[in-house]
Amino acid sequence: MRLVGMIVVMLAFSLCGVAQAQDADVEITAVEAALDRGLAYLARGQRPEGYWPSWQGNNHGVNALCLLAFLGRGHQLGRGPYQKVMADAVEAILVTQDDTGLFRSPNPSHGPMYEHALATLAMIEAYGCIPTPQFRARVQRAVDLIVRAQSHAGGWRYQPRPEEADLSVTAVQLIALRAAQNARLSVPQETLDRALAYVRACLNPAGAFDYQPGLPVHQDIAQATGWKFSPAMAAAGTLSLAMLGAFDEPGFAHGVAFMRDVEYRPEMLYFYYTTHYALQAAFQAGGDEWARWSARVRPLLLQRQNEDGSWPGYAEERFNAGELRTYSTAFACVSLNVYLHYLPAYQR
Amino acid sequence: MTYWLLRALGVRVGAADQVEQLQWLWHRPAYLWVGLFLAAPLAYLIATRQRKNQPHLRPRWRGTLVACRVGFVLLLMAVLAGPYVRVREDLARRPVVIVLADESASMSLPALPESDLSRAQLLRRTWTREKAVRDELRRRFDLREYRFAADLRDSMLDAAPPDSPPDSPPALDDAWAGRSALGWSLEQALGATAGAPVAGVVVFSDGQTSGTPNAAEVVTRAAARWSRGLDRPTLVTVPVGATQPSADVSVIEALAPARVTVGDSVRVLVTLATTGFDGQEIDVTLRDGGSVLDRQTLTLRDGRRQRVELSFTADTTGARGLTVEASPPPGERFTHNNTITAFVDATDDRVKVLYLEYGPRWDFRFLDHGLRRDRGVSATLVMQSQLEARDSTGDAGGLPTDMEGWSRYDLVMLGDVSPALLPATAQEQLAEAVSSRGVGLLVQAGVLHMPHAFVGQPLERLLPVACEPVASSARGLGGIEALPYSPFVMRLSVAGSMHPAFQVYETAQKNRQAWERMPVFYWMASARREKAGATVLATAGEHGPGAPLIAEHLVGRGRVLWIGTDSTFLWRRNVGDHFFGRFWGQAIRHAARRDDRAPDRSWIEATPRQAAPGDTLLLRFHSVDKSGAPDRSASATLRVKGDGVTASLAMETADSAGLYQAQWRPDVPGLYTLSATDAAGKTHNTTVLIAPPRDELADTSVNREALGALAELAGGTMLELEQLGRLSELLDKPRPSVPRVRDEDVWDNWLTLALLAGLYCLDIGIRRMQGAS
Repeated sequence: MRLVGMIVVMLAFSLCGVAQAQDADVEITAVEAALDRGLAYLARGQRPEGYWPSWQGNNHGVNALCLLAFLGRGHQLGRGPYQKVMADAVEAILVTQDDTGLFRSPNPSHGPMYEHALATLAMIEAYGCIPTPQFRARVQRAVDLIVRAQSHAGGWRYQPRPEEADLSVTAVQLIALRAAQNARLSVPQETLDRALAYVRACLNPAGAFDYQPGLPVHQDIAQATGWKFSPAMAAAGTLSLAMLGAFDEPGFAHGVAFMRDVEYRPEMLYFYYTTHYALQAAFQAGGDEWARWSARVRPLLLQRQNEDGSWPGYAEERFNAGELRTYSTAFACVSLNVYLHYLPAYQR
Repeated sequence: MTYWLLRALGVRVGAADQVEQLQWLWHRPAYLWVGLFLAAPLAYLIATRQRKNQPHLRPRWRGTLVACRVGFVLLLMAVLAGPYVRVREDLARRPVVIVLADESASMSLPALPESDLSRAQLLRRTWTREKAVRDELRRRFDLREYRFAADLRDSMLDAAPPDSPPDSPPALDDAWAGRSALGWSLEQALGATAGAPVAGVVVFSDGQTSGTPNAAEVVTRAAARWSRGLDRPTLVTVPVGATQPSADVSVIEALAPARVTVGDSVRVLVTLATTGFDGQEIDVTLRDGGSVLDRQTLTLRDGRRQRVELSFTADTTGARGLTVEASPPPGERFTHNNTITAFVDATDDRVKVLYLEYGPRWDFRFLDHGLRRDRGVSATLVMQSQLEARDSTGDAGGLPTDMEGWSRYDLVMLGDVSPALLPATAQEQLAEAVSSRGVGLLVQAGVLHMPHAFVGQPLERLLPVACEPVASSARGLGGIEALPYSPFVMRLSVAGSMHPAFQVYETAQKNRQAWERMPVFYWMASARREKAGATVLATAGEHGPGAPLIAEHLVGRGRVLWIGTDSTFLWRRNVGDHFFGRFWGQAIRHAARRDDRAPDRSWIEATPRQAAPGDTLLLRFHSVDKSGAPDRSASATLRVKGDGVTASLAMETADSAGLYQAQWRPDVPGLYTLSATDAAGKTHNTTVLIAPPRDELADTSVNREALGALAELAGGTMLELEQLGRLSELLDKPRPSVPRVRDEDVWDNWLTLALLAGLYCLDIGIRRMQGAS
């Protein structure tokens, strides 16, 4: 106890007066401490097979989010305290890749493309830890599938076929493609050009983004919330443009402006989805937008963390595996990781 | 009586209350017993002989003569037996009390709101007024008073330098007052006691300390020693100044790349801290002289560090000190810390870089973007895994095929490439380009190949570190993996803390602090020692110095920089590119060949380009004549010109012909131009910025929390100035004592001699007076 007291006092001293540059680290240190508790919770919740249970069972959307939570904290494959956790997670995703390149989620939700894009993103980032030729071939095939599954309109939908599209699924494909570009994987420029056209088409006159062109909010959500426009889609659309490097698009400024006035609270529908996309979009925008959103998100997530390191699910509680809050904890960690700026896919 | 006798016998004893026990002993007691045993027959024999030989003497004279002789013999026997005394003492020592008074620049701030009295003045006046306390301390203790700022100085506080005028500005320009190294001073003061018992340490300060080591570390180390049986001194901290934080806006730092290229969009990351102006709006302005480069409006938030990013386009070459200024909100009294200077040197140089990497590891992904954004770098990137995927390693992806080809680049960067891309022949060509053409080489380690796959090959000879031929893990990956609970911590060496690659702040100390706060590593290359002649810039180890992590050396005309980690992306923590980008940008420019440094060119340089008053700069000047031949003069003169300062410095010849160097220690802040004229009559100049360190005045409040925590850490207490009367009581503790046992001979002294002489004289005297033989 005496030792603990001494450490606490020493920490207090070092934080408050020794070298003021250290003071600037106080906020990020709190973020890292919260992340470390969150990652410890996720590590405890991982199944021996390498996956994390969620409402669907073994779903690659949640598996990828969990893996990204570790990667985004700066943990690398093959080293450090979580090397086994991460290696098992990578293996659990890689073994599900089929001949088409699809990371087929054992327990998919609406369709596999959402999970595939998240898994592809996580695999591309993991490939950066140990960039072997074998790993490269696997992630290139996953990227090739995304390219093939692009709809004629330029977007993506739940199934790996070029049929329909919506902005939510499209946004996550674009993040994966951006990661692929960073990793010098082959991504046709035509794919990106057509995707930009689709995102543009989703921009509505109010400055927000439609779920699908002409459909601002999914009907079920509109009925449940009374929203005319979805904050989640505004964030997804804005981030999509950022991932495409289209910062000069009018839609980017409109999306940022729309997000400024969003009533941000944990009880909102798709809280974690909105948090992550909005924070990433704000980071891409930089300046005042980043200052505004980072000041909103950090204290809220730090305050709401449970004692066991998890985060409550709020309106997305159903996506968790009962008492095991893998979905919400992974999403919260991935959001807090934005403050660290480690994940290459999101570099500005 | 005993002590009188002991002193008479020449035995050294202190005060009577220090002697616990006295024992009278003999070195050779057998001699004594034999002597005593023989004393009676001897006395009888002497008396018989005296009666026979001196029958005419009266019996009392004869008896006296017998007594003298017997006494003489007994005294000799006693001396022969070696009498001594064993003294057991308990020695009490007057303990030391150390008084440390902060005299750094922050102590020149107003002590109280609406008062012109500075903190230092308040302290001196209080200390002078409390004469009774001082006299009491001096009576009971060995009182040692010091002043401290950048280091420790002896001083009688009540006889300290006279008070400065009440309205004098903070002594920011004073190199000594610019920092307050409490930890260092405490260490020095404790060391100066040389093991004497220390009753207490009294620290008068405003709690704004900026030096290393951290005072808490020093106290913790000392506390560990004290807990091992030594008496624990009482640490008393005394805050000097107002209890309420003063309302203030402070510009903490402005991070800008030191070297940019004309046309670059330069971002300056400004950090501010605010107290007492919550919700108010101010302008944060970036200026170059009189012209405004950028301005942003900021809504202040109390108690939070706020960051503002300002930017401008570098449109002209040359070094400049950019001023970042936070407009003072209404009512701000102290505005000295509202401005800060950032040094930016714009050139139109472009470094030609060839970057070979195996795969898109994380560092590469960030560097890829960084190099493309950097207008001062023209980079050619070759990725081995892409070539392998296209099965085109056969043509080496258009890599140089001879030494001339490699020499077309100013710098070659090698990532985790394998010998398949860089076979021995190519390595030889590269080595030749480095040594004879001055091409820079920057090598970054990796888990797959670098450097363990090159052990025994020509490339290994180029590296400044000795590599081990291991593929250490079962996965076939090279390098050293840290234990999960014991990761590697980067420690900058003295050379590294002011090395151009690492330079972020104006002082070595701040650089070291900033880089050593970076996240830990869990992997490093298997290079456990540097080669002879190499300079280690950073080491990695759990505690203290370890294996070389970053090192450099010169190979012929070229410079080789080794980076033993593949995780420099971790330096993006919280601030993105500012440290990561700065390190790589500066490292590339430092290691690259510079045509303007060719042997047939004149040039001048100062290292570092930005420093604090009191720091030492290394100035080098290379002088050639019109034909390009080196200047053979014995010395050169360097002219220094700054704001109101003009001086000349004599430069001595250095290692190579035409090269001169000197050290310069500026004391006055400002932007200085250093110029020298070469043997061809052409003048060359460079610019350096001397800026006061910012730490001292970054926070204008009195940090009672820090002082209280420091005292608590050592088991002491914090006192207010008004409570100084309690000092004597707080420092009161049993006087330390040291048990001592001594043996002192008691025969070898004047008393024994006097006894012998007395007996002898008495014997002779009686015989003479009585006419005896």
